[in-house]
Amino acid sequence: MAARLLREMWTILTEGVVDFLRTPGIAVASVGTAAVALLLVGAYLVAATNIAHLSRTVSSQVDMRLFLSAGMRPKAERLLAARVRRVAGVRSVTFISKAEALAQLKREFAGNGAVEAVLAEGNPLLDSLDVRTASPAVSDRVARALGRLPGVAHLVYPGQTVARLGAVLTVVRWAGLVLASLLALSSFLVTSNAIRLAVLGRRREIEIMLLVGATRAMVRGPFLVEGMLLGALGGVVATVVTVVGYGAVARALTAAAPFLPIVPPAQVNARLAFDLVLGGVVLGWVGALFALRRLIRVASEA
Amino acid sequence: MVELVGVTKTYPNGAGALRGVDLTVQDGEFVYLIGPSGAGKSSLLRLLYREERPTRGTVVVDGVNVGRLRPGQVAMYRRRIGVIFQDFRLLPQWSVYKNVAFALRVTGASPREIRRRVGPALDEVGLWHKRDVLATQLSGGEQQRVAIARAMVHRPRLLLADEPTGNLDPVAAREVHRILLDLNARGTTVIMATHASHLVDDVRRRVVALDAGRVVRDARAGGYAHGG
Repeated sequence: MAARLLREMWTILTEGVVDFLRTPGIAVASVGTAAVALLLVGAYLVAATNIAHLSRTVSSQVDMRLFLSAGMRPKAERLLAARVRRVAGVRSVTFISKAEALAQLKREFAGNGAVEAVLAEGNPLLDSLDVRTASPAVSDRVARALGRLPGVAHLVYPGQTVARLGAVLTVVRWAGLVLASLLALSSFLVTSNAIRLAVLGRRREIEIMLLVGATRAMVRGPFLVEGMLLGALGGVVATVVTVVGYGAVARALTAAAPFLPIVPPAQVNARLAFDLVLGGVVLGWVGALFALRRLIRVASEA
Repeated sequence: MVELVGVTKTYPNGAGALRGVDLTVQDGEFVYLIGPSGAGKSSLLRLLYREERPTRGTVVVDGVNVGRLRPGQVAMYRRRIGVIFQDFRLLPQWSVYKNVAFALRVTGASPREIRRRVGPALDEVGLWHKRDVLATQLSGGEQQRVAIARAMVHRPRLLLADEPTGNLDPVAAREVHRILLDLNARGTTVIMATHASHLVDDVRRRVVALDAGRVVRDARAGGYAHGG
């Protein structure tokens, strides 16, 4: 009995592969559409992973920078620094003159002609205080307290960046979801139609199968296998393109902006491959199941 | 072997195919179903191989209440019966052997079992020597013989034949008829729907006549009985 079941499963599997190879044109179209849909999902996953990583990196930073009003006298600056030190949650305060800031900026952008040209015209920067808080958790409270101090022109702290990144992440998430859903729908329809055509092409065979006592699993199985194969191949194509594409983008970004916390491709590739291929399999399976609705009904009535 | 009690079949469009049919077929019988087109012969056969369910009444085949079979049980039931049709229903692009083997393959039979069974089934209909020929390259009579081999490869105890000689010339029709009689002589119960009165007249077998969905005559070999 178990051997018979195994043979049935083997027959289902081989028939599914044969079905897939029988109509290469339709197979290529289905795989292509699934690949495009999954490629977008892949791009979304990469973008979301990086934004989340950036957000985590930034929020783990305890530094904030307080820019002082232009033209403040050194004494007033020292007084302000002393007041900042007394704010609860502040661990240390370091004064950075605008000259030091300019020197640091020049070091970071050495070789960047456009930036160097701007900096050569004069120092547009302000004196600032680098404030280190006791923990990221107190950053918001400390920032509010410091923002109210007279002489503070501008305040930059992780909470703002995290909030902005959160907003970007939300936009990316929704846009990705909408686009991926639309493409997944089109891929689902193409796969579903490919299976429907396969069913129509094998109508006679199915009729005979049912007549001689093939189980419904035996009739439907090959089509489900075919659908999953179409989706899985789409997933593989999407994985390859995403992995290669992300590798290139990550290399380029790391070279251009080494300070950006990019998630190393090696860290996401396996997860990407798993998600995209599994997504493809599910997409193909659901598409095939949809196409087989009628066949299932007919088979169950027979 | 077969028992129909008060069987009525009405299709969703309101057309009535069978009306209160009572019919019993004993194990090993050969029964001709005759009657004009639309009399209900094919509908009766469809109830027997569970393509349709009766609207009213019960259909019992070999102890199985066919009308009450759940969808998942239909496949196993069909392995116990054989069915052939006027249009043969072969897969034209496949060889004779593959057509017959297909019936076993889709039920998960092992390659050894397939080899063991297909040979004798094709021998029985005299087509082993044409096992590698494509179905389309055969004559009508030969195609029907392949269909019989496919129907019998599961060794069913009941063979249902829906106008099996309808598309055949007289010589081929007689050959197919002879094969069915041979199968019956070896113990298979056969129910054959036919218009071919000359075949029916040739042999002394039970004849059930249907008209407008009712059994109007049930003539057993050697005598006549009337049914409703």
